Amino acid sequence: MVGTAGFEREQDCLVKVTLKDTGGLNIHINSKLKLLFGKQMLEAVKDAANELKVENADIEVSEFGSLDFAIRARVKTAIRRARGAKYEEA
Amino acid sequence: MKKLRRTMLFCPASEPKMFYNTPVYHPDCIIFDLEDAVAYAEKDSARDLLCEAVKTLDFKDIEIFVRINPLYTAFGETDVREIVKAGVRNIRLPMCETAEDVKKLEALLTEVEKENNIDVGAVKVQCAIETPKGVLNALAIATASPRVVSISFGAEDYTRILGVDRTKTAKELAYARSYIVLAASVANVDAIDTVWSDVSDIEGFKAEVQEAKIMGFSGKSCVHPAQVKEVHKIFTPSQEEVEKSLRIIEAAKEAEEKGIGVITVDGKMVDVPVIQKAERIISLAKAAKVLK
Repeated sequence: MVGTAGFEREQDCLVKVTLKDTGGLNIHINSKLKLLFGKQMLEAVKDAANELKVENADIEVSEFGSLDFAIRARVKTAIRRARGAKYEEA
Repeated sequence: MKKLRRTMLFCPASEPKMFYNTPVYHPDCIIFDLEDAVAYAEKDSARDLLCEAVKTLDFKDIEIFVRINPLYTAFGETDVREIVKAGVRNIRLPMCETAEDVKKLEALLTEVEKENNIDVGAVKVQCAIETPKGVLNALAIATASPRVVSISFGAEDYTRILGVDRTKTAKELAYARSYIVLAASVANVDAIDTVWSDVSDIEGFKAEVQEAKIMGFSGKSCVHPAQVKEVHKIFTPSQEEVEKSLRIIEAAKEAEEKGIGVITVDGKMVDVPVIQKAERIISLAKAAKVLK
């Protein structure tokens, strides 16, 4: 099950989540600022995944200067979309 | 001290940068919009962005409102549940037409507050009155719940339903605006005037803001940051008004100490309504931080 969220634009990020049954969390971050802020970006992704109780997924993040809250939000939306949430479900 | 709501700046909740760029303009309030400014396909992502922003960012003394989707849509109830849990304490209820609309939201809010161990009544409501029916029910709406802190006029849908165009003279809005101000006064809530959409016409905007102030509105909805400064200038007491008000209050205090009933200030008779108006101006000036 795959879900994407966000946009390739300034101060935003594009997130693709592929939910799996096993394998743990595999997080790949593509960012010009990865050297400086990669650790914080990774934590933001993990926080969001943990909050939605996702333990097994491939998560790809292409970020363009987004703050942590935006990364968390986009990851959550992508997870919900991957789960096939209808618009009226959280 | 009375909460200042001179400006309520609309901001789409659909882009991350909006959440931290908008406070730079120091409106009294920001209305993060989950409704009309957000495309259908992005309603879920806007809600997630808003919730994460509210949990993370410090908006200081800017009051945050959220315009939810109407409760009769697929999104409305989830909007309320998620944003209240995230920390939102002011909700703008769109297309409010009856007291019953307010009570439905109130019931949902009470349920969500209890589920999340939030004090019942903590979440306040601004009712957007955007239809002729809503205007005629403005008093019932404004008094429908102690959660209601303001009623806000929306002219775009109002004129669409009436079948008229919006004009720069705003004659087509005269009755609605006057009635909303009266209803808000009786209910002791704020009355917020409608948006001015022609952002390039600053002079026209200023004229309408001046009129809104004269009519008795507490503030104005804004759709562009450039409008914030202009509204604050008009809705903030001037130096001259403040000085005159201070003289009136001082003279009234002296008169009371000396047992004098009728006084004059600057050649004009000063009685209780004049003193109360002066006190209101001083209160506004202090809230706007132009007087210590």
